[in-house]
Amino acid sequence: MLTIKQTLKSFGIIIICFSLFFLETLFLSYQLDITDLDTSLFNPMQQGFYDAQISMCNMMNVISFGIIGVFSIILLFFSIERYIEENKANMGVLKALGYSKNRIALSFIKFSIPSTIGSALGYLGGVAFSKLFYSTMNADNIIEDFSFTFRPSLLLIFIFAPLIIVSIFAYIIALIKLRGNALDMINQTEKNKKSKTTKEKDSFLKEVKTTMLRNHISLIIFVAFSGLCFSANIQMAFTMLFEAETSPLFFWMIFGIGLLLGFTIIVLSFKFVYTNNKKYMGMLKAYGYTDKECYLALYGGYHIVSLLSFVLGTFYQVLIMSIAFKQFEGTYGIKYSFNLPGFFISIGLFIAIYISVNIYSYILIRKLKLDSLNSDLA
Amino acid sequence: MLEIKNVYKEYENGDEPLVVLNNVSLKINDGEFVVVLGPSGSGKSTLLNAISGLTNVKSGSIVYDGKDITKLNDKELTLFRREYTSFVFQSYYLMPTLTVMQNVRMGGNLVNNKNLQEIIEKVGLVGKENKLPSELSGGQRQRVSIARAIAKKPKVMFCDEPTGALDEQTGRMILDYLIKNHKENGYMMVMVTHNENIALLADKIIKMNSGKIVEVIENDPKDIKDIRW
Repeated sequence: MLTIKQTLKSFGIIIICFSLFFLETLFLSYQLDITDLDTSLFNPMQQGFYDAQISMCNMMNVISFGIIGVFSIILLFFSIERYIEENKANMGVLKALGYSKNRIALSFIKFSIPSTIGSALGYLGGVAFSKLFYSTMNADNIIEDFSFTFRPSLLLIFIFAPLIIVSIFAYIIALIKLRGNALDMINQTEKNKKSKTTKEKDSFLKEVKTTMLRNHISLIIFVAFSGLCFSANIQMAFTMLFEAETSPLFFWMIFGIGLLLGFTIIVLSFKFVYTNNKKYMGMLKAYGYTDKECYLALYGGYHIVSLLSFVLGTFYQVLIMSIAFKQFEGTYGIKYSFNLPGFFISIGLFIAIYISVNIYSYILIRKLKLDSLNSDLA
Repeated sequence: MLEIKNVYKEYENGDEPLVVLNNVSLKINDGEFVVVLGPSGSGKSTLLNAISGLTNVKSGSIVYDGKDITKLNDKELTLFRREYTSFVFQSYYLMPTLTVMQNVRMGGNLVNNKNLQEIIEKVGLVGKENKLPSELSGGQRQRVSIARAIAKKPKVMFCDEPTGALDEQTGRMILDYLIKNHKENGYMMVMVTHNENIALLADKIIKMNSGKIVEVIENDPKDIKDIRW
């Protein structure tokens, strides 16, 4: 039912898992390696450097596992749930034919393929990058003979943990979805959502926009995460480069991950909104609503979410950077100050990317073919 | 009046193009109820799509009140649909997140129609205004889609197998609503169906096969009670 080709389409999951495990391979390995050092013979300078490095690794581990990790889990849940919902009718047919719930649900464990591919690539990327990373972190050779140690346990955890966790996750969600009656699943009988009395708006399109937002709460979270991640990472990269004078390597690493995550998540979210609503957009167009009106009804509500998440990302990075700079203040004598050029560059980039994705979404609506309305827009 | 002349449309189908409309010509008068009848693959839905401005054709002309819609660009075609057409499809296409009243407003909003409650009463949905489509039966959903179509005050109503997903009793009720509203409002109505009994309700029956009109019958319309299903 769930083909390998289909699971590989989960490009967003691959990207997120790659980013998460790439960062973690570098920082966790670095932290484990530096912790293994015998500090009893360290001079005060080495001790100060050591403490600062441990603090930075802690912070990066919290950022990557705490933020990207949590969102990877939400995105995975969301993707699995969406896929299963889309295939509910097929699942109902299999159930009606006598396939056990267990057997049908097991076919969904293939959903762990993209996350495992992402984590494996992230781990391999981290290992390949480690030499450069270690030499940059220890640029002045303050600690001698310090290099990357290959740890088989880390390899096993980074590759098998996502595989096992996502498999269990997919299996359980599929089992829950299979609880319904086979006939209801085949007929796609919708759950009796209770109607809410809403205040009548002046314009029908405003009502569509409001209900679109209300019914895609998870997408609001993703769009917000995309803006926050982009804003925080890009500004952090500039602050680190110009205020802390870190290596360009760090700049590009943090910048690249912010760009990749922000861009991927916003594209996937917008594509999802389009796919889920294209037949209704087709109907609006058939009735004579213009492409612009359809676009605004579908995507207009996300503009403010994106803008607010960018602002939130700015505050978030100010907080993280202030804490980090305090840690390094004693060792390096640096003080945090807000990097204004970095802010303007990141907001410029953000607007450019957001506008590009919106233009792409507008083109999708414009190119929507209406002649298949009476045979269901496929 | 709608005048269709030598409309030709084909789809790419490997080396040999698949002709779906083969030089179709036809006249439909204002206020007329026309049924396009034919088996699956006869080209009836494609004809409906073409004359309603949902799809373009390779050649020929489709003229409404002197305006040839085959010559219009996308923007002009949108404005044409806004001004002229309404649709009732077999699959309803109600917006699942909007209430009955909000779905009806989708049509009414375009022409600033304030009498939506009256329309809802006409199609027998009083008390259901704040319900979501998922809380309604198939027949009630189709009535919402009819109300939405009427609310737009169309010049032409296009219906593609509007009773295709309904049982006989509900189907008869839906046709009754459609015909009553057509008579009250005096718009042109073009309905596609494969059910020969339904065709007996129309003023004109157009039989299609293999992309061609094979017969045009001027009909004395029967009452919904007098036809078999």
